[in-house]
Amino acid sequence: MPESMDMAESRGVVALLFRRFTLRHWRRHWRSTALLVGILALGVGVFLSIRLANRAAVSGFDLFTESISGESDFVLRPRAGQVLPESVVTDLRAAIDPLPVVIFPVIEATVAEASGDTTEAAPKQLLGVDLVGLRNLASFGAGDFGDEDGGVGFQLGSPNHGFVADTWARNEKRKPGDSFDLIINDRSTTLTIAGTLKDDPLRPAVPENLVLMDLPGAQTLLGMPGEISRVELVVPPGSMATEFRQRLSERIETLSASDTVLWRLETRNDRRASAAKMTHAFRLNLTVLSTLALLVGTYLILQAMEAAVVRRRSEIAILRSLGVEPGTIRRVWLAESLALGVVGSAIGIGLGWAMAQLAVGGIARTVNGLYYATTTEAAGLDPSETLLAFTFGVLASLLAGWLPARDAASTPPAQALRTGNRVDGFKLLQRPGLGVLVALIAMVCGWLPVWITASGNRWPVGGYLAALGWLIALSILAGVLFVPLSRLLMIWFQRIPEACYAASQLRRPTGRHRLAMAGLIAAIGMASGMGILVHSFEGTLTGWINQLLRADLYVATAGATNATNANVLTPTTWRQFAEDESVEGVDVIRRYSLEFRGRAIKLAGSEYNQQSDRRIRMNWLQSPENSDPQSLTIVESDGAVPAWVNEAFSRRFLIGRGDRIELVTPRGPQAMTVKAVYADYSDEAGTVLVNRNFTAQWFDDETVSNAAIYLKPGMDHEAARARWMEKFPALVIRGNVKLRSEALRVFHQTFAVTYALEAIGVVVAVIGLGLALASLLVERRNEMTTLNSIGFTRAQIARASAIEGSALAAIGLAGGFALSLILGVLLIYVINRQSFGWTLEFRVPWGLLVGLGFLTLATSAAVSAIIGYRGSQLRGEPEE
Amino acid sequence: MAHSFEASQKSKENGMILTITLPSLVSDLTLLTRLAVALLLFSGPTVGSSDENWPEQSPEGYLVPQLNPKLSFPAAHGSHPGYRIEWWYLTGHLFAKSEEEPTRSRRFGIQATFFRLAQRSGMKDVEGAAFGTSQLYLAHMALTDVDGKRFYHEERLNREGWDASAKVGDLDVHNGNWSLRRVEGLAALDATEGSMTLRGSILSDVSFDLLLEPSKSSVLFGEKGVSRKGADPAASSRYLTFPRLKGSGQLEINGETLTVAGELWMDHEISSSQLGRDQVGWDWVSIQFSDGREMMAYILRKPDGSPDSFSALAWIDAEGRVTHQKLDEYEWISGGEWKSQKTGDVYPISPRVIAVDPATGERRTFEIRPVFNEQELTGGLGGISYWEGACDVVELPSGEVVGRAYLELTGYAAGDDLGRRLRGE
Repeated sequence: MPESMDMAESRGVVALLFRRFTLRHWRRHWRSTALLVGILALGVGVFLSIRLANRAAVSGFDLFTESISGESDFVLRPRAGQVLPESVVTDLRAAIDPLPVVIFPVIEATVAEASGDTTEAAPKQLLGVDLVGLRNLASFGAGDFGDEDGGVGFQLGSPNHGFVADTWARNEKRKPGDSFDLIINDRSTTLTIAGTLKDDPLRPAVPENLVLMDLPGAQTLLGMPGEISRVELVVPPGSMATEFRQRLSERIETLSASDTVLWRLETRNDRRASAAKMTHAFRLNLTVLSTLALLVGTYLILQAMEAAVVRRRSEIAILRSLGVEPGTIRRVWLAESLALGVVGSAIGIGLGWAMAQLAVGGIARTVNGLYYATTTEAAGLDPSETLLAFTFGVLASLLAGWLPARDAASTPPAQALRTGNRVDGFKLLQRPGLGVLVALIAMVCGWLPVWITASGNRWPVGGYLAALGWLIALSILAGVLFVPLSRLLMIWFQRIPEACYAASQLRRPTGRHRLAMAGLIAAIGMASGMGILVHSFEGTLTGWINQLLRADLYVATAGATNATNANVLTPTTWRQFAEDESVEGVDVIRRYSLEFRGRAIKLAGSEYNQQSDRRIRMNWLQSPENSDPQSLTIVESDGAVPAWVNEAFSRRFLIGRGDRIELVTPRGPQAMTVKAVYADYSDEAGTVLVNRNFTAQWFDDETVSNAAIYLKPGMDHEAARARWMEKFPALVIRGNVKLRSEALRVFHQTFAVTYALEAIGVVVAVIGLGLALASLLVERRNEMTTLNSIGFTRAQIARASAIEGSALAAIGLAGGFALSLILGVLLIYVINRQSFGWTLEFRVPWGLLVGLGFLTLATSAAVSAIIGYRGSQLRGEPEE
Repeated sequence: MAHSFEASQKSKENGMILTITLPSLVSDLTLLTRLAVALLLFSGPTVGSSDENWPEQSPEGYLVPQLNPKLSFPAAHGSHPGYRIEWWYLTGHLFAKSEEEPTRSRRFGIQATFFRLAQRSGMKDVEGAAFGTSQLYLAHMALTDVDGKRFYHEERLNREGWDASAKVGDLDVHNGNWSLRRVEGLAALDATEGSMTLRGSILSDVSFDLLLEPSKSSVLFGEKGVSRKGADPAASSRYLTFPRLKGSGQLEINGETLTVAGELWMDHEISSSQLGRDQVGWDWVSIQFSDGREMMAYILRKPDGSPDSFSALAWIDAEGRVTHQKLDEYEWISGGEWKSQKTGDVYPISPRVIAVDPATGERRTFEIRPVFNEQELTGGLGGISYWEGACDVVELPSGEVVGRAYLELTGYAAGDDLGRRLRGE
């Protein structure tokens, strides 16, 4: 009972102190309070925006397709290649009879809307569904038809009619009966608008780029008679739906165990997971980057809270001398941190949502370029992400408040009140031994192998832990530079009083000095580390592209704008290039999606020209005995087909030269022998490369994904390109230089988000430096009075402050650059290899680092000078 | 044909509303559902026409049923795609022994209908096409749980192809997981040997698998094997009926599996014709009397509510002999108004049929009394609601239950001129 009374009393005291102590301070110093909240909001906002934008970008199209068929219970996709024969639906009906299941076949393709310039053709998603069968889903809640604007002559099965999004029709000022041009594979075709698909406020919006057709019409239009892309299975609602779903699941699983079955089963959750899995590595990198941004933010909050503690040390001392327990003071500070954390995080969530809207476009483009078609234009405020960001923000704020408050509350009041006394403050960063220990642990973490989860995701946990460890270790260890730097300053500038004064401050650095330094180290380290990664990536990629792109002209269809398109060049088209008299030779490649050990991979059938002396040069990681591509045509004595695999494949499945693999194709399982491993920076899923003769047989397919053309010596590239562009208006034909620049453009686009994060990190760190100096000056106001009285001018104090700030920045830069080199090594040799499976050459962007260094030093000096100039007028507390 | 049909249902829990235009398709659906029943009604004996002038084709190019047909079985039970419209229409009454009360049976009414509608005369799909356009198949399933007082129903539409078809040369019709197939026998019009299977479901609430065996032979309605519908000889149908099929099998309802047995009625009708101008709907009944006889009767309603002269009644005696009666030989008195809570439509669900019994020459009065009122099919795909349900047959004035019936009432939907729709206006 007395105990609970004590607790109640203590709570009352905390509440009272919070009102008198904290709220009053906030009112009086609203600018610094607002800055603190702003910093916190920025950290939370960056973290949340990246995650939201990410989530939105990868989930875009799924949402819509789901909404057409309702939520399918199961989806069957091709086990090998892009298509299933339509006969699978008949077999399936027989196999699951008489279960009440709607079997809903779908054909899907990315095509392009024709416009003047084929290189800018907008992608459209063509969806072919059985428009009659779709009505049945309506009777239990999906895919309903209404009726508008009749009389456009639509007939079932028409390959010339499509339904388009009403929003698109309105934007483009088209109406039913009008026509528009589409580029499908290598030809252009005209579709008549049969009707429009209207948005409903309660449903996901109809994607603007959708074209919906009757299934057989779409098959004809796409030149895929008898083929479908996937089959959706929907169990109607009702009291026995769960039971029927279970029976269906059992039958499907029994069927899918057979080797002869052409499809693989995907449940609703699998489908979401697979989209998530595809972009897993990409998202992981972004998440870690945003976490680092938050970490820098946490440093800043730590600094700001510490500054607040320093400024209010005398208040704390008075409270202590009035008999308030240290524990109560800590609780008041924690309550303050909590309040700041809640407010800052709440604002951060709004900020994050707004930033996500800006970022989603960039991320969606990356996902489009690297993974699959997405149509997202806006990011929603996902509750779980919001909660995560909020929790993160509040915890960071509590941690930042707790550490300095603990120090302040435990300082004896007499010591705290003593003027002119230097306060060591935050102690964690003052223990070099701890730094060495953390560095050792980080070193060990860097050697840990990749952690592969049960679902097959690869988490380079060791790499990330090592990065975090080095960040902490260097933040601590860089502190040892203060004393030697101070000595150097004393020696170099012994006749300049400002320098001597600054040096004397650095000789005994306070916790604030160390915190500001740590913030800078984290920000500079992160920015430069990513800079090293991007530069290494770019260098490697450029080299690789130069080796790879040796032909004069590159031909693809205008629809081929993303990684999973099904647009191809028909044999009649690509052979015309091969037979053209100006052409010396042609390389062609055809890519197929396949499954290997339960994971999606690509199988590429390539055919390299034998006429031109210029040939693709592979960058070998494990070189073949015979690097001539013709060696891939020779089947081994046991029937195995020779194959080259890329690095991503080799690393994901731990397969190297000499290993045997088996891939399931529409013609059954095919045995292959791995002859070599080559570098490939265009793919992280893994590719197996064989001669096109084999894929042509296995897939009964003579089409190719793209072609590279080698012109005869002396031929005019531009003239040839212009001639062909006129002949094949649906094709995109790029010159060698154009393709290279396009590849690099896609590359820079991919890293656009990274650049933004780096910039935010550095800005936050410089703000932190300014904050640290400001609080140092507050702490030293008695010294300021003394300096004034011995004749220091305002300008001199400003210079002293500038020197101190620059020196601090220099130490931050030294530590930051050291950290960046270590992070670079970790990112390139550990994290990147483990998550993407790519080997990169280590390249340091010296220009960027020097520029960043100067910029940071200059900004720090300027900020410090301004703060010194303004702070010089601070009056010392009267001596008692 | 109507090109202004609007699907009635819009907002649903899942999925999005696709507002798209399918004018010819939806109007065909509307037509199909109602036309099927309309044709059934027009199948009584009507005015004569000379055999020499009998046409082989309708003006649209579809086949016309010929007089004195030489039917071969079991092919006659199969599909006839040369005709515009065809249906296999089953209604009946099933009973399940209750485990709790072995002396009492749970009673169910059942309706299973398979329609075929040709899209254009002479149109053929590529052999084996998975997504054909020559034929559309509509189907309705309904179950009346008499004791549970619940009515379940579902409609389904599919195109000729992988998931719906009707075999030529034998009885084998399916639409998704619903099917009606001949197992064996039924090799002549008067054959009583043989069996069929009927499989169906209603959403995920009901599923059934029944074996159907004729208790008596099938009958062919109409003079010279043709059921005339009007003055124009092209307006006629071939109307083949199993008036009493013994049904047995499994019924799964809301997770409970029941062994059921009972009696069903099955019509198979083929035609290519359209309706006349002056009908707005019809009332139809099939009765299975406890004495082993059956009756089929209907009236076609004119806009003023009076019955059309094509209305007809037929008695089938225990040996399968048919006696036709014209409108002047029987009376259909509408009664028992019931207003649907779902659609607001008002149906006369307890009509009386007064007719002379050919066995005794006595005038008898039968009241058709629904097992319960809520047996309305609220128009999913077809867009039009109608009432079709299980009933008891009560003889008046004695009040004795003398049989069981299935009653159909159409053309009562407010603001809906069924006749106009059926004529494609």
